[in-house]
Amino acid sequence: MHNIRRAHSPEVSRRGFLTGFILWVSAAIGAIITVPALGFLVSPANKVSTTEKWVDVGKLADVKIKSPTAVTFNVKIKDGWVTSEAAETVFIVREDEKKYIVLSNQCTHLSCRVAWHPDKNEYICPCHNGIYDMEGGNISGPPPRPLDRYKTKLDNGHVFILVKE
Amino acid sequence: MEENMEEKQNWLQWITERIGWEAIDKAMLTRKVPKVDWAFTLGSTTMFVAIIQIVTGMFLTMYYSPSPDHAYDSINYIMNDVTLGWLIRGLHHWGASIMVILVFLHMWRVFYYGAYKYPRELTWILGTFLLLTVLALGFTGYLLPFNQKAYFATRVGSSFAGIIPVIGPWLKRVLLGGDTIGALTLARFFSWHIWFLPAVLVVLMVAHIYLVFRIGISAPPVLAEEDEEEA
Repeated sequence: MHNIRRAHSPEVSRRGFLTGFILWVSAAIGAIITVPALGFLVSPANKVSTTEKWVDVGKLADVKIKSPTAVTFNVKIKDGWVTSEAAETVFIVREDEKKYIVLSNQCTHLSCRVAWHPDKNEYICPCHNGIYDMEGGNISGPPPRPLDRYKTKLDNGHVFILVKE
Repeated sequence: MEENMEEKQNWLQWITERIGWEAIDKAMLTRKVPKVDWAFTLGSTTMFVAIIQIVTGMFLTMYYSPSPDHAYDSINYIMNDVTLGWLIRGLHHWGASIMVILVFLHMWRVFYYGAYKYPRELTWILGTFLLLTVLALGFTGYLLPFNQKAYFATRVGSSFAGIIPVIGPWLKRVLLGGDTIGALTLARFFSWHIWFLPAVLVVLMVAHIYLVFRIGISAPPVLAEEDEEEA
């Protein structure tokens, strides 16, 4: 009985109070320093670019029907204090006179660049043998989903695609 | 509850036993010191500023680019775009000046209190090398923003080396990595600033502080008549 009461005694010694107080103040100071420091380190990861731009990828009339055509264009990349341009390639695919799609050439497996093989009528990824059909649908290999499609619009006979800046 | 506390104590004891904490505690934290005044805190203040400089410096290397094309822009990026970048660079920038001031105040205390005398001569000698290292860190760090002020300060500073007879011109070329202040200068100043000099600083600091613990700090000097009264 006596022991139980002692164990629950709210009495705190001066030394115990000061030790706890100093520890909590140190922890608070530590947090005040650590949180901004972590913010500094992860800063670029928190800046996600959301700007989009329509890019002209050429005349639709120049692309033959049922013959995917690779078109290269430049995108501006803002990388910290460096602004550079990088080339991107897309495939314009015409199914008939009216219908067309624009496919990314990035394999959906691990982002290697796929190539169109007219003899086989397939896009083949050289890295792990991912194979897609003309519309980008999966045929075989590791890719988890079809090739990405761009949003498109037609203006004065030119194909425009929506690209992230 | 009480059992829990005991476990905690045992866990702490397990570690302290193994690292020999008691001896460390006795030698460093609970060692006997004479009655001293606030001027005796200048050394440890300098040490804490040195630690701040090292830590903020490590953080800055995450974004700084030591090339003539990018140095200035990368610092602009730190100041304007990185979360609290202005604070981290501000601490490093002002800490550098404060460090030099603190080193001189610390030296002033040691000199006027006669604390450099036997048996603390070696502590003083290491301290003079620490002073030189701090000044070298200041000189090499001053170039890194690569703005007009940095460029011309380095021109003037390196010209001092150039006027030494015979070996001067060669020494200046070693310092700058050639005849002009450019890519090589910035790269080698950066290297000195973040690798060689901090390494030297840490080694000297550890030796300096070891001697402080080993020999103990000196009591403030007392006037002759006070000394007699006490005796």
